[in-house]
Amino acid sequence: MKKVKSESRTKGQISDAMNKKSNKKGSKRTNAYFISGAVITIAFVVLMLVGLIHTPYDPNAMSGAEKFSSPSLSHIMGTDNFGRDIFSRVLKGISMTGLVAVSTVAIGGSIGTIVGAITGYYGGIVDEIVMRINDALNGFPSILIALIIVSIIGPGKYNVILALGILFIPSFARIVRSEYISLKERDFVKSARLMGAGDMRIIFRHIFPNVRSTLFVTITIGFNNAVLAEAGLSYLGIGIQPPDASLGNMLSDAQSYLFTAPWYAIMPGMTIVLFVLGFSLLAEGIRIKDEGEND
Amino acid sequence: MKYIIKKLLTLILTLFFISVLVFLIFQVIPGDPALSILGTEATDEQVEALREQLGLNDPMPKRYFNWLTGVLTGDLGKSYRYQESLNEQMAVSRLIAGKLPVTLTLAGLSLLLIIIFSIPIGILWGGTKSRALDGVLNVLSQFTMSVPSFFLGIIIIYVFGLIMRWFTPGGYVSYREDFWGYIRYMLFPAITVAVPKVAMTAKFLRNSIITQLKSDYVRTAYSKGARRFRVLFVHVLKNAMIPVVTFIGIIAAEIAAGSIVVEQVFGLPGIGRLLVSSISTRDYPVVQALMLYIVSAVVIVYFVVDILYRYIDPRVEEQ
Amino acid sequence: MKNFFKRLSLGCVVVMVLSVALTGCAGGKKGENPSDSVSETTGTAVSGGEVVVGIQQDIDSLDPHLATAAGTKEVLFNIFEGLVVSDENGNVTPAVAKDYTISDDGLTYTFKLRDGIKFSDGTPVTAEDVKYSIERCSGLLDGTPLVKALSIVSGVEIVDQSTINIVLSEANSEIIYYLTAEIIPASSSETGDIIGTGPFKLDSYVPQEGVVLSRNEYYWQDGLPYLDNVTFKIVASAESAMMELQAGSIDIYPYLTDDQANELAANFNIGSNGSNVVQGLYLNNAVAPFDDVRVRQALSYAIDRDAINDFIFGGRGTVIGTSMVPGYECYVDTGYEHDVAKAKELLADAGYPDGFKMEITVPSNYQMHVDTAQVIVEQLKEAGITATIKKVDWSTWLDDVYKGRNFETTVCGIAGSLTPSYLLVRYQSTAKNNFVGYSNENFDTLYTKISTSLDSTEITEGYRQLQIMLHDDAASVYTVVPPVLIAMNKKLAGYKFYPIYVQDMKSVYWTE
Repeated sequence: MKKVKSESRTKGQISDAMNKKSNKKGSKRTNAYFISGAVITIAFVVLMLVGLIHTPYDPNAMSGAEKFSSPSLSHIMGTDNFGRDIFSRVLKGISMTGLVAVSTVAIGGSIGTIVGAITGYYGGIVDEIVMRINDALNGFPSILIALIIVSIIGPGKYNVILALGILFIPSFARIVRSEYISLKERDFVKSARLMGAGDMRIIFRHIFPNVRSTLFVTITIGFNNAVLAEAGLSYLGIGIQPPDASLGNMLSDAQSYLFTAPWYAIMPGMTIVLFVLGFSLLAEGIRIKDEGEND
Repeated sequence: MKYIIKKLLTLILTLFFISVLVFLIFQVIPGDPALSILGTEATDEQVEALREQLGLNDPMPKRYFNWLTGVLTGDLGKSYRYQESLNEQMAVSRLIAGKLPVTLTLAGLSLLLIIIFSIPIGILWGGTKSRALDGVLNVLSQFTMSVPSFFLGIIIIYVFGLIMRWFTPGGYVSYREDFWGYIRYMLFPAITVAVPKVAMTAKFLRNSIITQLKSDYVRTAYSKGARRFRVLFVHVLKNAMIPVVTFIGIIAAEIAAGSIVVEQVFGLPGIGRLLVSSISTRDYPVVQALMLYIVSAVVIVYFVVDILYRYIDPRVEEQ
Repeated sequence: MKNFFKRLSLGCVVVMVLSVALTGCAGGKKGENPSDSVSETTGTAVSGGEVVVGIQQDIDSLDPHLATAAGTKEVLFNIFEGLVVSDENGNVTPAVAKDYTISDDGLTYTFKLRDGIKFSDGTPVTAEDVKYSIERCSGLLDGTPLVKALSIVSGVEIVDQSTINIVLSEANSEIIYYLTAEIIPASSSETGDIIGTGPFKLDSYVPQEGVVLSRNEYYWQDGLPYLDNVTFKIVASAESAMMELQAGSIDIYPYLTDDQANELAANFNIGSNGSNVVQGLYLNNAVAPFDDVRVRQALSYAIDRDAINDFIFGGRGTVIGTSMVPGYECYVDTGYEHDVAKAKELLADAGYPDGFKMEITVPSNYQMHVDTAQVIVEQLKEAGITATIKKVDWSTWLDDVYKGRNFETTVCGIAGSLTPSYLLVRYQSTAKNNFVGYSNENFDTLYTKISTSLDSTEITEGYRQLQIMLHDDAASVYTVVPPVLIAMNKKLAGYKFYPIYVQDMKSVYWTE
């Protein structure tokens, strides 16, 4: 395990190491993280579903008379430069961002897991090449890769999902790979092999269940990163296209009106913060819980 | 030694992959740089002549080879976009040299802030017995890490720029004109970069300290009658700092690689913004050089960190 | 002969000035009527001082003949001058030349160089320099004309040290406007020096930061410029320009939005003027369903141009119905009234009773076009048309839309020039820059006929008919001529609006 770690001490692994909790005290606090994270996340899932079905106003309906109204009873988050209701747009934005995050993690997670499992299990030259590519990709700041992929395939919802999905493959692959490297030497794998189980069976039937808990934490962190990445891309203007609302492109538009309408920036901004915070508290809670159980 | 040679070979292999990748990416991006230079009123003949002049009509392997030879001999080529004079395009190296100081200042200032704040916080956090303080710091760090850098930037602009008027948002002053004004302005983007990293580093240090506090030598020290304070600062900290140093190294690489978004938020003319605008104008020589710089910087720092880690933490050799 | 040109340009001038005043009045719905001139502040001109002007875009080329972006030309206008230059009324007045005569057949232009005129480095301007510059622009040097309209120049003859004949292969009533082509030293092909005869000279250019100019000591107009230094500083966004204005780190910013102009009105001199940009939802006439005139007309009915003007330009722009800028004598005020029922009817006729889906490609660097596209999407919804927006960067836009014609619709602005023909020439079916793929034989015939005509009434009448054809065929949905809104430090005076995109700094001065 130690050896693996020193071999490729890249940013992902460092943050894995960073997140390893070493104190097992305080299961009450553990619950506090988990519960608050779960509450926020569930609240967001609810908002996401609500946003898909109903919003107080049409999120794209413009009104010249109501440009830049500050938050009030009729528009609880105020209106923007087109007189559109910010709360309705934030709801739509949450749905949009949620959709992107779920799809992204699904793509990155599934392909990453398969690549990681196979390279980790077999090792050898294929593993070496895949890991070098992984290292090379790792050197690129992620926003830059996304920027380049989007320059190639064009902007828009589906392309952003594709770009971020591809972007997430290496991190999943790396974590799953290192799990497989340590697990493949375990006795239960050896005995399965002795009993004549095929490689594929060992990889997916025997080892995989043991990877699940690590994977779960990785997925939670993945959601967290996906929300930030989507917001970042839309902020740079290459994500979700107007007039569709996304938390990121709302913020980027809002920056031009910071002086006239500060609420326009604060509302979607705080929404992103809470969204992300929910996932990280959840991940923290699960991690502490896991380690408590393992010891 | 064998380890270092092996790592060096993989480094070279990785760098080679990167150079191919960087080159290939720009063969598939749509958009003709010649057209982009000549604009809307260009004739076909003009575009064709310019393509020929820029060497865009050569076969791909030849262009890759030409580019690589240039890079290895220190010639990064000429920008398609920027002119030096009426008959000469600006050298990419000169262009980047003009922007690099901004990015490096940003990196340097943020790194300074990270070290100044994260280490005391990390020590306090790791050393404290108070659960309340631990909880507060933990929630605070979780919160800080959840704020996207562009939103943090916007808040800083709003609070310090618009309300307090401590700086003029967007009013970047070049270091060539007013050095202290420049530093003053750079401080705010640096804070934006530093805040989430302070939280990360402090948390990392805290975990590292707690791991150390549980090791045998600490128990021995306690049994010999050492006080907690002494144990913490004399015994634990030295060991706990080892992984933190490498962690900071990696953060340094990431920041030096360019905080694209933060440069965008604050309107800083650093390499991040140059990169974004060069991608959109298809100024390939500049983009390729910048990407190569960024990625190599990161990969090389990782390499050095790997070697250092092995060197300063002898336990890695055990297996 | 020369008189005729004077008359022609004078006609334009009067209307131009009038329109400036009118747009000034039309704006400012909230009672803060900004003046049409920013030189309200009176006070004695103080020579010297420094001014920082905020600009939006980076310079695309320092070569005056290669620069195409309006954002570049407005800066270079201060460094370079042609034999003649445009003045604030859209007239051409002599600059490097002291006067000129035109032969009776309209084929030979004879220019007399101004006595003692020098480049900003102190070297005298010679007939060779003029010959080199004109030949470079007209393609006589290497076969590629840098200024397309000058390709009809067949020769440049040096008569004596201060007299030059420019010979044309065919007469053209508008060629004088293109002889504003900048004069640069013949030696610059070897030295690469960026020098001209303008009121300022280039001190430094830093990519993505800006351009610093200083006074040209050898400028030919006595007492001008007033300022010692002018810095054109590239600002990150309209919002940061606002903050910089308020903090005093920029003195002039010429691209305000309406909301910003209202906010700054108390502490700054605000000026507004019509631009020369024809904004529209440009339709690809070559692809279905936009190849059907009924669909194009339906779109024209469905889009509420006044709402766009109000939403995006605060009512300060001018709503238009064809490819022309108000201010030219030949301008035809026309347009489809907003009528959703009519639009639906036409759509049903064309076989789209339930509407259709379309894509609007927008260059992402122009916020006003992106915003306009958003308003259009909402308006088209009412007519049952589902539009989506695709933001692309400028070079992709040039490649796919402008050159490749691989698009359905796009919102963009086409900038005019000193001559009205500039906005019509692209609609000839064979024109290379006819990116909307408009094709109408009558248009082609009429355009060819008037382009060789020298009769000003015939030309003006012809231009009118061409505009009406574009309107009737709904070649595209023409929306608004956006306003130019400028904020200027109250202690500055002397700023002049031009009918073309320039920032003329030579007349600007501090009052204390």
